[in-house]
Formats: sequence, C-alpha cells, structure tokens
Amino acid sequence: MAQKIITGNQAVAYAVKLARTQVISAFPITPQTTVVETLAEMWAQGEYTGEFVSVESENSALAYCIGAAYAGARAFTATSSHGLAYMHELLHWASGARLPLVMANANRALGAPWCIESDQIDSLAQRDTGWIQFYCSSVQEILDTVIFAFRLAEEVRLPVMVCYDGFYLSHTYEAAAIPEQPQVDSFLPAPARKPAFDIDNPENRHGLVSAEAMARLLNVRYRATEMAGEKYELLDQEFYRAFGRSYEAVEYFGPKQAGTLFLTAGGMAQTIKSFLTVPGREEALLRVKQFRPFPSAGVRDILSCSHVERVIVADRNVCMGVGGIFAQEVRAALYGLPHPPQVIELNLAGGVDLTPEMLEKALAAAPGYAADEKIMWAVELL
Amino acid sequence: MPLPYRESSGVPYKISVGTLPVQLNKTGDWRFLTPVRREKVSPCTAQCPLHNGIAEWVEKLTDGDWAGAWQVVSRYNPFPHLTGHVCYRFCQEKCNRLHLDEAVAIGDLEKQIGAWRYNQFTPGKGSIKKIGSPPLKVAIVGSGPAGLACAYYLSLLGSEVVILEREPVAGGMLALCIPEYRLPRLVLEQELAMLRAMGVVFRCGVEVGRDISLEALQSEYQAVFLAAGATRLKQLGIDGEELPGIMNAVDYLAAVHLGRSVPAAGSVIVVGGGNAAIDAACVARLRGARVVLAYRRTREAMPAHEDEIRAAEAAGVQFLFQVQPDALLGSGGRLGKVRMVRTEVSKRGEGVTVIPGSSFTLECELLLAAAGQEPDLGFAGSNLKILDGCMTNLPGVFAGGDLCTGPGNVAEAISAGREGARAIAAYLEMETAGVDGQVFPPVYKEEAQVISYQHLNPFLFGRQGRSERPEQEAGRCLSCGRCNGCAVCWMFCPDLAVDSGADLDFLLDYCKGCGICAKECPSGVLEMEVADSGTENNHR
Amino acid sequence: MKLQVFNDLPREEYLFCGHTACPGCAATLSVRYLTKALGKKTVFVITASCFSIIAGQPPLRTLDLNVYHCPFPSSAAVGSGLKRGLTAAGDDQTQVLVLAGDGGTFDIGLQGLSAAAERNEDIIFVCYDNEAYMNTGMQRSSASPYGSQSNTTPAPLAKPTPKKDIMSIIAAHAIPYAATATVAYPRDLLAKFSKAGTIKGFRFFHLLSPCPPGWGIESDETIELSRLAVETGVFPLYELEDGEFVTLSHKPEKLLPVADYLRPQRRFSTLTAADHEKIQNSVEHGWKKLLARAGNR
Repeated sequence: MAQKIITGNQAVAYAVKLARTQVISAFPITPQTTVVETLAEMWAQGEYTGEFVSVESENSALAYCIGAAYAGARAFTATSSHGLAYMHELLHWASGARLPLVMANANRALGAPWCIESDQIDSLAQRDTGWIQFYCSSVQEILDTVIFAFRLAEEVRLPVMVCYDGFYLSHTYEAAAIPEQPQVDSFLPAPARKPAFDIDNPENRHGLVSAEAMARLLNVRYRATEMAGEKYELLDQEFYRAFGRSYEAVEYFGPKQAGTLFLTAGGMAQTIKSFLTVPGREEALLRVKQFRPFPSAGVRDILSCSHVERVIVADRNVCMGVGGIFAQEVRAALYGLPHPPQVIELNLAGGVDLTPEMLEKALAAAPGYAADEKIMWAVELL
Repeated sequence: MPLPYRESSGVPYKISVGTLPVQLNKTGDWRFLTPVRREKVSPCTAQCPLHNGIAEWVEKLTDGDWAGAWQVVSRYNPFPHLTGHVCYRFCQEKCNRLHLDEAVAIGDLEKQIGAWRYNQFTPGKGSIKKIGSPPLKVAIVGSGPAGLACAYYLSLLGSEVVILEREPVAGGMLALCIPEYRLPRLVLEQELAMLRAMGVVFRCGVEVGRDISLEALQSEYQAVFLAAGATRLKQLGIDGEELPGIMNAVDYLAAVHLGRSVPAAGSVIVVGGGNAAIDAACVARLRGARVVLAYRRTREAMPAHEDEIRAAEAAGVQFLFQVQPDALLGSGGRLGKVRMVRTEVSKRGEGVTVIPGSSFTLECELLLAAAGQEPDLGFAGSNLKILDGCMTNLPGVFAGGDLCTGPGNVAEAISAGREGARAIAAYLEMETAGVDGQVFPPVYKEEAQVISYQHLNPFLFGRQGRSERPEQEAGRCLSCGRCNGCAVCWMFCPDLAVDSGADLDFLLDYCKGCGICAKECPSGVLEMEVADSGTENNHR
Repeated sequence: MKLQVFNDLPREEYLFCGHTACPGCAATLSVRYLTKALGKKTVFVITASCFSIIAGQPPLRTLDLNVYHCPFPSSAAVGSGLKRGLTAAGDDQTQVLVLAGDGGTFDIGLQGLSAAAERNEDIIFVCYDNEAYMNTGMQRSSASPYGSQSNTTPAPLAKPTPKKDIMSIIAAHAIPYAATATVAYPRDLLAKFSKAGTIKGFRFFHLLSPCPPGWGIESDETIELSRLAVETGVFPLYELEDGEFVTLSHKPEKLLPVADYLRPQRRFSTLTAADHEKIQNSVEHGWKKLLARAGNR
C-alpha cells in the first residue's frame, strides 16, 4: 500500500478509480471541484478507463448516475452545497429506485448570501432523502469510506453519501495509504458487465403507484435502511481484514468515565481529539460517523451511562427555529431515558473554526447553562 | 426478476414494477359510440346494368390474384373479355376517382381479366367443373348475349343446355351487327368455345316457330328461356322504300358479317341515330363509301353513345342533324337520290315537326335505314305474354333481353340472361352453390345506399394518373362503400382495438369509440353508432 | 389480408390494448408507430407527461419493452446515463429512447436536452408535442401556439407569444439527425425512425400530437388535424442533418389556408381576424424560409 500526501478531494478520486466505477458524471462546484478534476486527469491519462462525462448541472449529474444505475453500471458523482440542493428531487428518486449510487459531498454553506465556508447544512438538509450518510474526519477515512460506500450500497441497495468538511478536509493534505487494486477487489467485487434489465422480460419500472403500494415500498425501504446500520459492523470487520483499518459507526475517544462528553462529526472530531489528548483532560468525545441511519442505540448506550452528566454537541449547521441537527438527533435518541444527560449545543454554523480556545470557553460556560438554555453560539465565544 | 447487483442475504428490496400487460383493463366500457362496418353500394356497381361487383374483383387484381378476380367477375358477368370490348363503361362515368384525378380504367381491367382467362383455358378439355346434380334440360332460344349468359349459369349448375339459333352463326347482335373493329370475332369465338367446352350445345340454323314450335320445346325441356332479341326491323315509312338500293342497316351489317354479298356503293346514306345506324355508317365507310348519317333530331338527342359518334366522325362519316328523308327517288330502277327535309328541334319521345319548304336532295346509291328494332313475339305462337322479371304466362317459359325490353346494351342483356337463369334455377329447385361457392351473385337491392364522394376519405391516395400496369391501376380503386382490407382502421387506431387478421374485427373489449377509424376509412364503410349495449347507456 | 400500397406498416405491436390514454390520443399512436420501427431492442426513459400514466400503473405495463420512469427535468440526462451504463455493461445494441412531452422538452427539460445534444449523446430524444402541459390539465407551455387558450391562459386571454421554435434550437447543436413527423403520415414517421435507428449520436424528433381534450376537437379529428397542420404549413415535415442540411419530406402543391387548421379547434376560439392574418403571415414566412434552406446539401 502506497503512502501519499493527498487532499481529501484527491482521496475521493483514488477511491472512485479503485472501486472500478464505470460511469462518472462531473460538474464543478467549490470546494469539490478537484474531485472531478483529478478524475478527469486519471481519465485523460488512461488510469481510469470507465466513462467520464462533463454534464451541465448537478441535477443532470445525479440524473446521469441514475440512468447509469438503471443500466446496472456502477456510477458516481461529487457535489457540494448548492449543487446538492439542485439535485434534491433526484436524491429522493435514487433512494426510492433503490439504486446503489455513491456520491461525495464536500460540506459547504448554502446562500443567500454566497458563502463557501464549511457548513454541514447542505448534506444534513438532505437527511430525509433516504440516502445512507457518512461523515469523515480524515483524508484516509474519506478514501476508505468511499470504497466502503460502494460495497454497502450494493449490499443494501440504497445510495450512500460520503460527506467531509469543505476546505478543512477537501483541500487539506494529509498522509493516506492508497490500497492496491487486488485489496480493493477482495472487498468490493468488480461490477457485473451485463444490463440490469431483460429484453425478453420487459418491465415498467417506477411508474405511478397507489397509497397502499407506496406505503409498502416505504416500509421496505425503511427496513433496508435499518439494516444498513445493522450490517455496518460486520462489513467494517471485513474491511479491516482487507485493509487493516476499521472505523466504528459511533466512536468513543477518551477516558472511560468522563462526565462531560463532546459529540461531533467530521473534521471537528480531529480538533477535539487533539484537544483531549492534552494530559489532564477528563472529557471524552463521541464521534458519529454514520448519520443515516442514525446510530441511536450506540449513542444511547454511551450517553445513558450514569456518569455522563452532559454532552456538548458541536454542530456546524443550524436548523432554523430548532437548533443544531446533530443535537436534535441526539435528543431524540435520548428520549425516554430516566436520567438523560444535559444536551448543550455548541453551534458553529456558518463555518466558524473550532479551536482549542473555543473548546476551553465552551467547557467553562457549560456548567452555568440552565436546563432550558440550549444553544451556545460559537461566534459569540470568539 | 434477477437482481442486477450482488445478492445480499435478507435485505428487503422492492421497487414499483409493472409486469402485467395492461390488457387486464377492459377499456371498452369507456365507449358511448361503437364502430360498425356497414357496406354500401359503389357508384360503379349501381350504374352498371348488370350491377357488376367491381370493387370486389378490382381488389383481387390489386393483389395480383387473377384467378380470384376471374372467380368474382364471372359471378356477375361470364364474358368480361367480350364486355371489355363492347360495353360503354357506364361504371367509369360514375367512378368516384373522377373527383381526384381520373376514373379507374374498369373496362380495360375487365377486358384483361377475360384475356387472362383465355390463357388459362384450353377449349375442349372441359376445364370448367360441373356440379353433379341429375341433369335438367333447358332450351334457350337465341344465342345473343342474354341467351349465352343464361346458358353459362345453367350449365355451371349441371344442366344440359341447348341453344337454338336461327342464323347460321351464334352470337346474335354480337356476331351479326357489332363491327369487327369494336368486337374482334376471335373474342366472341373464345366465349362460344368456353360454352361448348362446358357442354352447351348450339343448334344453328334452327328457327323456333318455323323449324320447331315452342310447345315442342316445352315438352322436351324442363325449362325454356326466350332470348330471341328485338328482330322486327322498323320501316322508314316513306315513298320508294321498296326500291333496290335500300336496306335495313341491321340486314346490311348481318350480310357483311356473315360474308354474304352486299351491294357496292360509292355514296351511302344512313338514316337513324342509334348504335345500329352508327355501326352501319362506320362499316360502310370502312368499305370505302362516302357516308352521310342523317338523324332527325340533334346530336345531343342521339341514342347512340357519344364515344361511337366521335369514332364515326373520326372515321369520316358526315353527320347531318335535324334532317330526315322525305322520299326515295329512283333512277334506272334503283335508288338514285334521297329527298331530305329539315326538322324543328325536338326531344326523343316527342313528335318531329318538319320545316315546310326545307327540302333538298342528296345523291345516294345505298340507303341504310336504321329506324329501330322491336321485339317480334310471333315465333312463340299467340298464347305467349311476357310478364315482369323474366316471367311469362306459360309455366317453365322465361324470357329476357331485347325480346322483353326492346333494343338495349350488351350488359343489360347479360344481366337479363343471368337473372333468367336464376329464375329458372329457382323454378327447377336447383342447388345454386357450386364448386367455388354460390354461382349467382347476391340479388341487387335497388334501394341500397350508394356511396358518394363526400363519404370517402381518399387523402391517403394522393393524385395519380392511370397506370399501364393492371395491378397498379386496380390499386387506384377507392373501393367505395366496400371494405377491401386496406387496414387503415387498424393503422390509425390508438387503442390497437382493430385485429390485424383478415377480418379486421373490432376488439370491443378495448375500443374506446374515438371514431378515428370511421373518419379515416378511405371507403366510407365504417360508421359510429350507439350500439345496443348496456355499458354505453352508462354514459347518457 | 391484402394491404394497399400505403399500408405496409410492420404488424408487430409493442403496445398492449387496455391503456388509459384518452380516446383519439395521438401520442399513443406516435409511440405505437415508432416502436414498430425501432423494434425489440429498445429501452424507454419516460419523464413526467401524459405518457408516464399511459405507460401503465404498476403492476400493469402498456409497453412490451423495458421502461424507466424519471423525474421531470431529467429525461435527457437519465437517458444519456442509461446509454453510457449500457456501454459499460457491454451492450451497444440496445437503443435508448427518451420520451418527453413538450414540457419536458421545451421548458423544464430544455437544459438537459441542450446539454445532451451538445455532448452528442447516443440516444433518441422524442418530443411528442401536444402544445401544453396536458397531463396536469392543460396549462400553457412554451410550445403552445400564439393565440391559444389554456387553463393558465383562459379565455378571454390567449397566449400572447409565439410557439418556441424547438427545431431551430436543435439546429444550433449540429446533431447528426433531427426530424419532424406526425401521426397522419405513418410511413414517413416510420421511415424516419428506422433511419434514426442506424445513426450514432444524438437524434431528436419533434412529433406533433393533436390532443382532443386539450385542443378542443372531437376525438375522431386527431388524424385530420395532424394532416391539416402539415398541409397548411403550420407543421412542415422535414429532416435536419448536421444542423444545417434540410430535406423536405412532404411538399404540398399549394398550402391550404391556416384557418382550415384553426377552425375546428376550440382553443383558438378567441382569435380575431387580425390574429388570423398574423398567423397566416408567420406560417407563410416560416414555410418560405424552410423552402429556401431545403435541399442545400
């Protein structure tokens, strides 16, 4: 396995190539653009031998992948922010059609006004579209998760979105091990080279259905989504056997009996981990990797321990009128517990940088938070 | 359905898929009007004196099915080669194709079917099948087209037919009067050969009334068909008619065609306006005479067919209208001059008014009088009365053709012979279905609806002039009022509710009643109507 | 049974009876014809339009061919992706046929159409044009003609702008093959689809599809209106190759007056004499322009 210093975007490109993707549709948007540019370069150099098509919009980019998946091909595209929003209709379509697509999303804020800072609102606003969602915290994890995503997608027949911080991860160079093709093939078999339909047994797919039929389809899809969560661990073990690395859906980092936990996803987890490795720190971190299906059981198991007094959820996103989205999901997971920990939201929406200083301030302010005061706005702590 | 991706155990997978053909949904109950195939009479058939089923055999020709075309046409008219030569083609005058470009060349096509027929038929080999029923014997008096037609049908039905003809040759007016250039005698010979091969016996030179009586025929034969024609030749009724140099036009023509001697003449005047007059004028002209045809009324009033008049003019016959002979003047014991007078304009059926003081004379060596012909029933004895519909007052004795109606045309005569045979078959309780189906055509209903051009939809045809190739020419037929399987209804149905098989049945389980088929049918055969079905009442 | 010279259409059907199209629907007839020309190795991508419903509601199907439905704006992209996916799967025989209405072509689908044409994607894009958003109940589209009513331009209003010239837009993309066709000329339509089936690259069809409920005509007038559209010059039949070479398919000796075409349609009931004149002039002008471009290879 070769070690390279690459950006998050480049990591995506390597993974997509190694996954023997057959059809890639490309449309640029900051900060994802170098994903498709790297793939274009690989295509131009003959390293990537599938189809690479520059389309005219993100709506068409995902539509293109949907078409390719209809044919039974392995397809991929990358986007961010407004591009993701523009393909909203198609996100629903892809999961309803049970297509095993993989998409990389470099998290970025949505206007108005224009803002290219890292904000998770773009992918989180799509949390209801039925896609499996992962949030990566390092360049290596991005590369590994994209490969993992193709396998999981084809296992459960649902599309998978691999999310990572715009700029903080998309453009930051880190060292990453690039797997060999045989390693990848042992985990992710090559796609079958035959159409997904039968000329002699034609079918009319995805036509209009009744309420009852729709309800049954949704029910089945719901169960499949749950199983994506259930199968994660087994697949992760397989991944470990193939690559020597493993990632938990919910990762606990820090002292076992910590009374105060941070909870976050994405690049902020790296910051918090560095913060927590300073000797003397007593807090711990819960890093959520799989956001959909939300690992309620895993989160609940940890947060229901009696020693946990409070959890500070670091959200780089805000749902207007409600608060941080990770925090909401955590609160829902904790519902029904006799003595739930206090959930304090540290909200960095807009792309506010999470620094050790800010973490100190947040910890200092946390005990003084009354039960009904929910949100600690990071920008006010600056 | 085989899964397109790697199978994974137990993950539920379901998408919206339609695999059942939508035929389960019977959309026929949407309908409040139902298409119905209702055939009407083509104008050509209506106009034809024998109501020839033209569209039916033209359709066969379009397919290149000459045998089928013969099969159909011979039900109506056993002598298409002959009529193709001499009939005036009334059908073409009414052909709806005239409204687009030109009439279909029906007469030529009919002629070609007849010609084809003779390439298939070898006389003497009895290639026409007979139907095996105990042979009944029928006598036919007269071998003109009426008698010949009657003989054909009755012979097909297995009868023993004998035709008695007073002239030495068979054919009636066909042999005696119609000129060679209009009807080559070979054509007539071929028709007669066909009849002989079928077993029809011709006894020529036998005159009923002189050589054998009608009563004798009645006792020897199970039925008798009288088709002796209109043989009494009317006189001009003017002075000098007994002079040598005056002949009846019909006698003149018969003499020419029977090879008897005919007076040579340099100047000939033909008096009359009918086909006999024209025929005589042309024949005389062809023999080198200067010919004048004098008719007492105008050209428009002439009973002769316009085609014949023009042909005569082209041949050099001089026409004088509104003149009639007043007296025939002899010179040296034979005809030398004719005194003519002019007449006022009059219509046929009215009297003719002579203009006083308008007389003039013309040189004339031979005057051919074509003053008309009438039936002469004398041969039948005094008891015979002719009734409607080929019946007579004598049981087992039927009559048809010019004998009943006075001079008519060949098609009318053939029709009369055919209907006479039909009446005789009914009288003798014969089985009328032959080897190839019914021998007679369906009885023509006078009150049936004749289709007009407005009911057709000829758009798909486009303008196209006549073609030399018979299949192509036949393809120009619009099949007015008759379904010819063009399948335009099938072609334009959005609901695929017309079966693509031979009968083009409507699939009423699915037809929504949009009406496109009826509107687009080129032949005007389809109509939309409220059918008596419960589902349609739902929409009231 | 015998077929006459103008009815040599293949007998094979790829639609089943029992579909729920309106009586007299030209779109269904158009699809019936084009499937005869393209045959069994065709997969359909159908976007939101009347045909989404006509194609059958699961568990039923109307076409005896594989059909994939797709969201409204996406037909060209989904079809293109499908074709690429088939190529990746080792199949270069199956034709991908994208079926869209005028909404999915002229309006919401225009972005995707233009892009797929520009990329010369190897698909056949068929627009069956009934000149309004008929499936949602007859709202105007940019394909609705000048002076026509709809439920969003209801009487006494009428559409104040002319019909978008989609063929000119397509011409600007210089694709290998584009053609107009309509149901009243089935042999012409079939010949064009057969020809398209042999060409690689982006192929576009503009099919005029008279719609009885939408146009305010009787259900049996579909073929006649389709015919009149051509014979009056409102909808000329032609092929366009490489964006510039025009071949006229049908040249009436003399164009019928446009009023013959407009008169039977209730959607044109508010046209004034001045409107008629304007329409006649613009049709004649368009026809002359087309004639000038024709046969210039």
